[in-house]
Amino acid sequence: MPTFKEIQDHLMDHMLPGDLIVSMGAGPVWEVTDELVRRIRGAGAA
Amino acid sequence: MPPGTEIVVHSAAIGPQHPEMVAARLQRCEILKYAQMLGRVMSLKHGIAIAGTHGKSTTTAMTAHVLLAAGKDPSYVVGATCAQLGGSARSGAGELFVVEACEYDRSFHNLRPHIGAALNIEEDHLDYYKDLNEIIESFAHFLGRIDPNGVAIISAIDPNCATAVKNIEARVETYGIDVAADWQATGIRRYQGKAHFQVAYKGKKMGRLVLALPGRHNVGNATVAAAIATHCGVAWDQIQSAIETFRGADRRSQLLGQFPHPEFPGDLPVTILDDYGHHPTEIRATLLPCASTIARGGWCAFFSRTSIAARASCWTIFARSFLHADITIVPDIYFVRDSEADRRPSAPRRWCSVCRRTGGMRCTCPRSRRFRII
Repeated sequence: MPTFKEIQDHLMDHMLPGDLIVSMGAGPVWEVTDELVRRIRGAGAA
Repeated sequence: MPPGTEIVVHSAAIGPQHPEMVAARLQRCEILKYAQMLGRVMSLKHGIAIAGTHGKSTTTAMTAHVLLAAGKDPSYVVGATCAQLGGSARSGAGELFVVEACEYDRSFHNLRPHIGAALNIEEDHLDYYKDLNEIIESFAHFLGRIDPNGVAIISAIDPNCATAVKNIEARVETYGIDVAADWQATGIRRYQGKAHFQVAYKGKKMGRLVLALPGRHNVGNATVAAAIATHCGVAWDQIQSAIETFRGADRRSQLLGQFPHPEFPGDLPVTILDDYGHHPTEIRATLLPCASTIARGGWCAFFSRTSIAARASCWTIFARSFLHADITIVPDIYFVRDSEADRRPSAPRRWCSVCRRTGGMRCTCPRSRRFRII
């Protein structure tokens, strides 16, 4: 799902401390934040 | 299809040509829609059906949670997964059967509950209903099916609910926040992320409730859950402790966590929420408490994937519902039941331009050049 990955890449590059990120909508949009959580955890542990 | 199968239950989305449906007909199985089966099961129990354009999953899950905690051993079917409930459905030995009653496909016309709730009535599912009047008529039919000795609980401030209960036999009780209502919630205060408020029934003070869910709308949902539990004979102190421990259904303002920023771990954390909202009222209701209490100085990013955004006439209303977001990111639109004709104008790029024109907000989609320059 290249589109979701682009969004995740964008957020990883641009988010700042104190930000609130919400995935909202019906359908599989939850996959964006699900994967984002994994990536943030992975980046924090690295 | 296993031999000996007697009944095949299918969702409204499965058509007659589906291979399992064809096999079911060949085997002369009884074929029922999910909602028909739900009605059949409810007829064996003391039914509680919770309907409304918004809030029905959360309120159904909360009601089931309270009845479980009170030892009523209820059965329930919720339209969302809820970790505290161990999933979305349960078969209990108790008399009570709590279900989320859906108006799509007039599913809820299969139910004959003892207690029925209409939390609110708005335009939704316009691929199925012609207009708001048809939706109100459909709710009126659902509320008319409540046991005449039962009770209908409706919003005190929603004129559509008032219209829908005009000719029903069951007793009608209203709920509301800071307005005259049979079930009245007042004095909401937020303390340590929880809402504290008082509830009165027909002017008599019942006591305080504490709720961990965000948003004013959830205070209304909790008031309805408490009203239903009271009618089921649950003591107020049991209701209080159960409501306070309720953590919400999945994808309903669900807090996925607060995480240290990978590059600035000593600074404020990044907060991530997930929400199912796909109707302007829901989006506004979810984002409003985010804007006022959670986000401090940061920007917010919101992604919307929605079916009814495809309707050009709704775009402006949708765009306004995202006003509390600093940044809105729109991926490709997610289609459920829309026709090919509905899909064309819903390109995210065009949707974004409506958002920008309407709200003056920063809105982007992956295919837009603006996505690169934020």
